[in-house]
Amino acid sequence: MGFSVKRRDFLGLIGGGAIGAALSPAPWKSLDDVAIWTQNWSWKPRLPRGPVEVAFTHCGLCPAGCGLKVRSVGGSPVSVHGVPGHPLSAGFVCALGLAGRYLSYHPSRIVEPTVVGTDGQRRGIPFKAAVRQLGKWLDEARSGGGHGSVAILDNRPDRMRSLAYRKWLGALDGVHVKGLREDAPINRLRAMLDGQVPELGLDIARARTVLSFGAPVLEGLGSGEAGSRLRGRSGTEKPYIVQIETRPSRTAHSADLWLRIAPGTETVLALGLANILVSEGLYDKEIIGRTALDLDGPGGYRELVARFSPKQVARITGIDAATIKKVARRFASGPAVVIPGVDPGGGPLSPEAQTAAFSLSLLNGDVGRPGGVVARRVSETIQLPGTAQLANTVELADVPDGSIRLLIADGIAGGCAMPTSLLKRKLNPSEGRVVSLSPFERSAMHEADLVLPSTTPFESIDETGVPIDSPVDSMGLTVPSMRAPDYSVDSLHVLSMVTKSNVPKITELLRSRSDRIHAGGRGSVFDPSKGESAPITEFKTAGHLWRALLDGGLWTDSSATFTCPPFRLMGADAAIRDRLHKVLEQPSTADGWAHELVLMPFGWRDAPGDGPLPPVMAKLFRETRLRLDSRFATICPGTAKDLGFAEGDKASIKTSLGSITVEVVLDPAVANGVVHVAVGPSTGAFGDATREKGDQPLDLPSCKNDDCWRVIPAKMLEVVS
Amino acid sequence: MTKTTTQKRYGMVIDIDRCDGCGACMVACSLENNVSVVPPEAGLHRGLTWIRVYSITNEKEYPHSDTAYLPVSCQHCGNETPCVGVCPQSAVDVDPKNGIVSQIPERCMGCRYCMVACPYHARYFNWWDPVWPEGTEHLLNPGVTPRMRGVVEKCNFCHGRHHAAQERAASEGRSEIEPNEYQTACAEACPNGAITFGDLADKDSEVAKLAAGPESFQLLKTLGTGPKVYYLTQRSWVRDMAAKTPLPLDGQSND
Amino acid sequence: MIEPLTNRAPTRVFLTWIGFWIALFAIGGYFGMLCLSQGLHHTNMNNRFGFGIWIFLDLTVIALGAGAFFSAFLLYILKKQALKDVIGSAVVLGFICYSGAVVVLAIDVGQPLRAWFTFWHPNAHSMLAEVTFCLTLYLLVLAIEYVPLILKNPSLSKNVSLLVFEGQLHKVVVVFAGVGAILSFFHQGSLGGLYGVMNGRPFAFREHFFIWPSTFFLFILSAIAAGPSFLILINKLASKISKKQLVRKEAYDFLGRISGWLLLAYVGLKSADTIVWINHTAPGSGYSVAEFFKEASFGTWILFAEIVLFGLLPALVLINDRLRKRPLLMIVAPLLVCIGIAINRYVMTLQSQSLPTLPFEEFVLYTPSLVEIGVFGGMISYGVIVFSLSYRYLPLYPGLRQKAKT
Repeated sequence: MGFSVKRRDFLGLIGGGAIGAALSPAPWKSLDDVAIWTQNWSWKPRLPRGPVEVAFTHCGLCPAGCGLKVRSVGGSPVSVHGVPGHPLSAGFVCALGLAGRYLSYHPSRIVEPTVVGTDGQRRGIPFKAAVRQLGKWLDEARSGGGHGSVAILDNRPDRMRSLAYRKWLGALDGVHVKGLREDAPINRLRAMLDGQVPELGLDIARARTVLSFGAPVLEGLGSGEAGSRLRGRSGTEKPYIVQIETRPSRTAHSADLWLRIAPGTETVLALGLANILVSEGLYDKEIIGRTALDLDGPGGYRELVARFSPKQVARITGIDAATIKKVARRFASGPAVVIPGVDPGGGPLSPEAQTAAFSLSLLNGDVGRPGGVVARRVSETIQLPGTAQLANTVELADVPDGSIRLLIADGIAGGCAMPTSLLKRKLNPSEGRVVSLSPFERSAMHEADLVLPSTTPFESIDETGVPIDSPVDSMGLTVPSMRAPDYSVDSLHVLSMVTKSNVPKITELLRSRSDRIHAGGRGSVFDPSKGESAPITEFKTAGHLWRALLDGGLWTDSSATFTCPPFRLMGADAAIRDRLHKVLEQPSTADGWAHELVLMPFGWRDAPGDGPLPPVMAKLFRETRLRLDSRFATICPGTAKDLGFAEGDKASIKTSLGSITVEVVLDPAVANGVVHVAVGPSTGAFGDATREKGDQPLDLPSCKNDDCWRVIPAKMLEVVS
Repeated sequence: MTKTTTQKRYGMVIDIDRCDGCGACMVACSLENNVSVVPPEAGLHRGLTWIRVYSITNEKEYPHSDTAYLPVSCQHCGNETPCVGVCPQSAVDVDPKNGIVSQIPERCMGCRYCMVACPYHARYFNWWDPVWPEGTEHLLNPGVTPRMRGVVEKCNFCHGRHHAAQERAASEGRSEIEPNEYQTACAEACPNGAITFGDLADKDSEVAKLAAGPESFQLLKTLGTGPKVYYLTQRSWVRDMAAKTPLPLDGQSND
Repeated sequence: MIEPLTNRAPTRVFLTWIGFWIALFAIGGYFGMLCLSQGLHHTNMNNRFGFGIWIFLDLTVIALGAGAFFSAFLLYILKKQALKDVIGSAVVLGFICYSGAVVVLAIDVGQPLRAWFTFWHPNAHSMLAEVTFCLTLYLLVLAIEYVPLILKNPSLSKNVSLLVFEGQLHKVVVVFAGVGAILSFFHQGSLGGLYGVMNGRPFAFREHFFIWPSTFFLFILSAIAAGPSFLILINKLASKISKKQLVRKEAYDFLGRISGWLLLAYVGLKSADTIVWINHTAPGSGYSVAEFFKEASFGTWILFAEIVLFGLLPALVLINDRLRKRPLLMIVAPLLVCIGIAINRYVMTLQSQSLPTLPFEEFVLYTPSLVEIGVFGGMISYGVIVFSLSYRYLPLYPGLRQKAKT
């Protein structure tokens, strides 16, 4: 008798097994496991783990130098917050500051030295070879040219690092060139004052009126403290903000009064305001009569402004006479700050416009009074070892054309872009070489002959600089919150290797300044962990102060009193005086080239100049179109209609130098006959700064003047696709 | 002093007149909540922006031109929340203790019905795998789990921060969190102080006072969804455009 | 070896025909895999268009597939013997429509591996949960109804035990017809409910009766009105292709008549619903209906087309005994009915998303990507393949079999 399995038995076994299995945990556990598995994909990013640390530092991304509280997990900075009570930033941190740490991993980060070969191709080379190459070029530059043939372009020329640059350049008979900065116009004011003048700060926070000529005062210009007051968030009375700007900027949008002036007519408006101050006697006749050296007499200021009657000014600027009178009277009613703004993309106002604007400050008696222009105490100059004289620091515009044979660009972001043509003209046409020390590919440096990767502000120690509005000197450090990658180099180290000379290390330089401050015994130190300041006298040794600074502390000087010296309302420079007198003769935009509209490039204040944008910002601005990059042109519906364009059309903007292709965006707040195109990083991809040549509006301007390229004659043509 | 109320109603008041469209709220939000960087081809409608700043104009020319910026996030509807009822697998949840509407990404199967149902267009789908530039993963916020491809995500009033505040309170033996312990990233980041966040149920809170003020309104109030995000403006054209006003029942538009 | 029925196309002809559809199916399959493995960015859907062409076509297909449950209901429960001729094809069509829709839905969701969470963590208030439950269960019922047909294949029916099994199944078919009718009734309704419950979308939102919005009932009514029309169309098409009289005229006539009267009822209720919506529901939410139709791509013409041109007109033709006798009209009118139902599903799915609810959001149009069209093409070819195989190997048409014998 054999054992046989009938079909019924088989089905019974299957059925019984199924019921039994259902009662066991096995199927339910596996269901659960499937559920868990579908919820946790292996390609989800791994989050940082490890001990949580909190450290304080300062942001090095722009000259405002906000205090930062950095929370790190496992050594990685996972979040950034403002520091409440910080004397300069008052808890503020902008979007760029929040996202800035991502720049260290930006896809456009330079990870090895690159050189452009004889075939025009860029290729990677070892660091030592790059230094040798730089040394060779240095020798060639020195043998071929005289004074100023070697230059360092420095976007923040007031740091200790800059001092070391000047010492190094001094030995080579080189020149220290200032990059374009938003605080540059203050030097124009200093030049109008007679005699030895200290560093000046614009006391925005305590002003009654802020007269901003296109300055991004509500977009992060100056310190967070000033920003907070300008926005009416500090509990004190908010200054009245008059924004004089053609473009409907964010500051224009939020200002108390927006004067949309005709493109390039700032000088006329400033002199028109002066006309009212003078004609209505809205100035202290006794003091001004004593201190102004060029008010009266033939060709004097009084004679100049007399030609700018409200009616005449209204005709040119497009601002009605009543408004001009209203603004002048408001301005004269108390301490006021005048800011001839440097647009991050559009660049500075013309020198005569800056001079005309600051003449209002002088006329109003604002220089030397709180809420106007105040002076900072200057710490004694620190002596660096070596016998060489310090090289002179000059503005780029003042560098003779074709004089530079070797230009070394310091890597720090200045926040302002400038035309590539301007930089090129300063170079020797046949032998001029550019060496860029930068952590990223930068649009202005896309043709650099040699690039050396440097560190980002979150990876290296440096100084923050003093915000434009600070009435006192200060010292805050960017303490690294991330490790610098092995491939990155320090500019001072490179310089010392190239000339085999003893260039001090950056920590030594900073320490010596800290020690000097301690020895001076002035001012107080803010402790970010406690949120309060203590007088410097409480720091027993210089080491204690240094330690406090390394912990993210901020030293601020005590304030100084300053009496306004005699001054020239039209400045000391005869050329500028001449231009002021000829303002009404010059057609504002004519270029000998038939144009139908004007191109006004501009930049976003918290986009890092010619560098890249953190990917998250690029993404958000791209997905919301909240900020348009250089692929878009804004124009008013009326002008668009006249030219035959509609929203979304592709257009080619043509200037006498070239053309860019853009997408048309309509905005009724844009002035007639004007087209605005942004300068700066792209919001495509990861926010790259690298652009093809001719892609950015600043590759276009026919930069006849070195000092102003805000208004460019242009045409707009249809793109045939 | 610890508040004795246990029933909270978290909400937000956004002052449109203070917003200048800088976008700091969006950046802070994305960083706080590990919102992924979506490829550029996402365009205007396939990205991830938990809080999205709209720019609206009155269509007039200077000097009468005016622009207003409206940050719009999930409105955390308190009444017949449109997204909650539609989700087939209970992946959308209104916390009865505090009124926060949250999305449970681990449970979501990505049918997108909630997105269709949301009148505020405040829900976002992961059309791509989450992407961050190489090497930046260790910069992400460890308190918030990144979402995977194929699920819906949206503003949850910085749930990670709420959770952290609760844990801190619990570790100190408190059952309630203090108002100053819990702030959303957008409110913290706004340089203009345009965003006020807090407990609407606490009548003494700033957010409750602002929400009850005469200048406050809700987006699409007539839908009856009871948003817990309020807006303030003194400009009538903004209010007329942003808030749907009820229509007379004869079907005629009143604009 | 399973043999084709007698009286079918030669193998070579059949292989050419089926080969074409298999190729199309393969393309669809490839596109589907793209979406599953890389994500839904291959579609043109976006955050404003969470539902795209797939949902619209799924809804349409499911509405047209309603012929299955409705004929089963009429035949087995109400004993309308005229439908004997079409019940086989109705079941196969239903099975194709439903199974195809489920597969496309699986590609449409972002995380299909979690689709079963609907059963694991169901939200009882969700219309979509109701749809999922009823849809999967009804697909099961359709499969069970399909099995006896498969077993009737002559090669298979040689097996005695299978024949017995088929006989047993046949006895309970009434039960399944009943269960199927209830399940279908609810999911057709809840598909309509999907839109009517959206209190945040004034274009879609409708008045409620108890817990159901009016669209719940309108979708059921429109589905059972369109299902018979679709059956007429498909059977006429199959007859045309096979060059055989597959279904008797009486069955067509019955289907046409019932489709016509149901459609007439639907048009009446839909009109009433629209009037209430225009005058009460939408304004109550703060929107004037005029706003909904102000964009040319979705003008009032679409409302007119849906209700009058593709609703009232074919209904009047189909209820008229004389007009139903005209062969051309018996193709045109059912076609209009099917198009009308498609327009309705299109409007509910796509127009409601094109329209922004936030006043400062823009009106958005959407065009499906090649991937979306390809996947749907794959589903259509799947249907053709299954129907062709069923037609070739299974006795779908009892009338045809009788004819073959004589």
